[in-house]
Amino acid sequence: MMREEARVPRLTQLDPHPVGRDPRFTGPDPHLTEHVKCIAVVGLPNSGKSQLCNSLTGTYALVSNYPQTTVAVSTHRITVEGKAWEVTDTPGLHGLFIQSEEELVVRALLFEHRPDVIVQCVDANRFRESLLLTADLLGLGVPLVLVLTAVGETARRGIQLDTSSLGRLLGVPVIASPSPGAGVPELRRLLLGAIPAPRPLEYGDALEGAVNKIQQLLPPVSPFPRASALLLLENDPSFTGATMNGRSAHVEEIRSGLAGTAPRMIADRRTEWVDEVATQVSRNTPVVRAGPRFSETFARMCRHPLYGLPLLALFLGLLYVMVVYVAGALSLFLTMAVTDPVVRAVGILLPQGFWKDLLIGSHGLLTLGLFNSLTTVLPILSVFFLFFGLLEDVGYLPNLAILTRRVSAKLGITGNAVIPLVLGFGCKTMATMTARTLQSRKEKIIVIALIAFAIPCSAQMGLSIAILGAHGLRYFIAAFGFLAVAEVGAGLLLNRLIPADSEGQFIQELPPIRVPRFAAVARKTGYRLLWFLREAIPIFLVAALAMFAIERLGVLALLKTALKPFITGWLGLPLDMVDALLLTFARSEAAAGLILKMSREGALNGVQAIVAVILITTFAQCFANIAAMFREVRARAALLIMVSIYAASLLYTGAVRAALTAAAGALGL
Amino acid sequence: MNRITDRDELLERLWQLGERGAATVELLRESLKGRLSGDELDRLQEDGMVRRDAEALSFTARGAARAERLIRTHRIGERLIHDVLGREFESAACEFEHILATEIVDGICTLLGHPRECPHGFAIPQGECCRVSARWVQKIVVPLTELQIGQTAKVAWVYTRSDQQLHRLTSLQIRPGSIVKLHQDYPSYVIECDGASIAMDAEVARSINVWLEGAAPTEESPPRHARPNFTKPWWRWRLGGRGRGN
Repeated sequence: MMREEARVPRLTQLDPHPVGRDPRFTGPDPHLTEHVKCIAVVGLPNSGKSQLCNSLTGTYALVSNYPQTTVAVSTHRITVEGKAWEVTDTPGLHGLFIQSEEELVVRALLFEHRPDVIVQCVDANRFRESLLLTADLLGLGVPLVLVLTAVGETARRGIQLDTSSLGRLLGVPVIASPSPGAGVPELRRLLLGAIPAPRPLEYGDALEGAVNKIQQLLPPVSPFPRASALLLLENDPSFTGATMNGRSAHVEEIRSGLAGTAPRMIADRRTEWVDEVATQVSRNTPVVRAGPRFSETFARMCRHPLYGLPLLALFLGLLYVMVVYVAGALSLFLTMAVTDPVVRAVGILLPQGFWKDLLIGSHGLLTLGLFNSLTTVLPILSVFFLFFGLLEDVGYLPNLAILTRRVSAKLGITGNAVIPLVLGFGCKTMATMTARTLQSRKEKIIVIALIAFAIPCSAQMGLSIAILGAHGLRYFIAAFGFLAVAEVGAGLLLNRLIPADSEGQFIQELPPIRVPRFAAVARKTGYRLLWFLREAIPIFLVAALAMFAIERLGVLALLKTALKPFITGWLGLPLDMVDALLLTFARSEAAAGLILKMSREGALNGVQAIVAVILITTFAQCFANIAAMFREVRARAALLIMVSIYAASLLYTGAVRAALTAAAGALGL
Repeated sequence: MNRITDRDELLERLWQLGERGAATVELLRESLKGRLSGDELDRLQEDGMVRRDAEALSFTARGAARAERLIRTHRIGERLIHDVLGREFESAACEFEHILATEIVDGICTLLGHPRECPHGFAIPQGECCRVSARWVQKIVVPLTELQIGQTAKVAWVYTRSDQQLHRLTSLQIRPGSIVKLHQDYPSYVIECDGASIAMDAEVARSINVWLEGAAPTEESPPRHARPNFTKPWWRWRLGGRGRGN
């Protein structure tokens, strides 16, 4: 979606199986003659990597309290004491043995570009889990710095981590970062003097012997021969082919020469080491509490069938009130205070004719372009993003995913696919990209199609609420009820149509429920709005100009005549909706802004508002999401999804209109 | 099949018929679907295992002891395969009783906490081990799905389908020796392990087996195996947190 589009160009899309090296990492820099050192920031999902990168580089990437906020690698340049460094933010990683596709991207980054320093974010809440990754990273022989995040949270639970003894044990510098952004000056200082860590983890004679033998089989220039040998020994299916050139039979022989199965032996040794380190470093002082902590109770309530649904309804209700009353009032105020006076002034200053129409006509640059984005759409998005950002920071969405899991299982979504689907309510593009973590092709296609079809992204949702709110709460409930029916129906249908393949098993880490940090949420909202403005205003202006042009050339009138039976007959909408439909091809917000204006001016009745909202939610596809779809599934499948969605959207919207007209009296709409 | 297993099979059938009422030649013939030849039954009589009184059949003391041991081993085997390995038990367990020695069966029985019923719900004859430690009537190792909400337990073993799953669970610290706490069992299982909350399907939860530690020995503990998941009526949906039951 739009606020992420601003980010997409900055992302480095790494091929999971890169052939050559990315010149951005190693090629000569035109501005600098010296070698630019690379820092890779890695860690478990939701361990605060993006937060750390933001603090380190002074830039901004989205941070949230749930896993998979970052699904691709992004790089920024910083200067530390006059030297240039490249800081690379990465998606979550559990270990070098790969568990999903975005982890493959991180391993490819480490192996192909061999960063000069690795900074690992160690989530103190999941200390042992993080140490498993540390065990792998130490084996690379690259200078490593550990940053302990969320230590404040663990301290409140009665667990103290001794940073200095951890550093001594591992032989690497360790920094405690009790709150987001803390410890960054120290990190900058440490980067200069970081040296390769001594290799601490010995796997015992049998395994070491096997590792040595495999190392000798590797091509002479292999990156990280020891880590590669271990991965081959562990039989990581994503690692075998590329490096071995048909020597895998030897590896198989070495593997079968061991007394046990290599993956289990290695895993056992690693956990043994993790236990050793963890018991020496952490101290438990039991915290006496009268009952369960509020955050735990709250999380449990969010996931609970009986309490979770009322909570969801409460959040949606709050959202409705905020958007309709707060944002709506703000938008009306801005229209009266800014739009109307300017339009009036231009009307007085300019004579009737071309220039007046170009600026303030029904497709004017000011009316349809600038003011549509600034005074109609922006206030609504501000309020919505603020509210949504709070929910993100609390960590509500993954817990909601648990609640909706039973329903989604019926739609053929059995594994970890629930999370991308729920994230679709934030940004469809990001959600589509998150779908790459899914193993099953069937699930991937269903999820990507469902995200694109009837899930309103946050911008669409905010504007839809505003459009429907102009008519009343029951119109809002009806429209979102119809969208839910469409989504469930589409899921059931796709589940029947697409043949089953490997069924994903559902194992999902849930983020801790946190009290939202208002400053962070405000900052995030600010950036989202900034991205929206930077990107949307030019598009709004160009779209307005294009509309103006086709109106002048008479094409619009022709189109309206041609589409009349469809728009007024099948969809039962006023003919001016053609303008909105055309605008959806530029940006759905532009269309939504126009519909909101029509709705407020009384050009749409309640039923028409419902039909219009369903139409733009299902029909309007943003370009970034279409691009993401083509990246994640094969072009043929993506094309098929797109065509089906357009057809289904027009059919369904018409059917809803017919049903509503028939039952309008009974429903009181 | 050699003669001894044929004979053992007949003894097991007779035991099962006895459990349902009286054993007669006619019922035995029916249950074996024509595979019963007259001389097999005669041989059992010759060996002094079975008494025949016209149509009615009954065990001698020796026959009853042997049949009891066979049935016990068979049903303990089913429990082991069902509870611990989480697999289909029908085909694997039928050979079980012909292989295992009494001490091994008692060992497995102890490990499983002296189960009283087989997965089908039939009684498992008590062994010496059960009589000695009669006060321990609760199972020691159970799948995660049988924990009470709010209960904490130590992981005994994890049955993984693949290396990937082993890595996934190990990296989440779900491995033998770690402590897990069950937070929720509907709509998904949610456990806490090493400070993280982890949600999972029933299938994954069933593959994680835990030691029931500090389970108070109770006189009567109804078997809770094969509890249907997700079919609970709404009034049994509980928020949990401080444990329920017990």
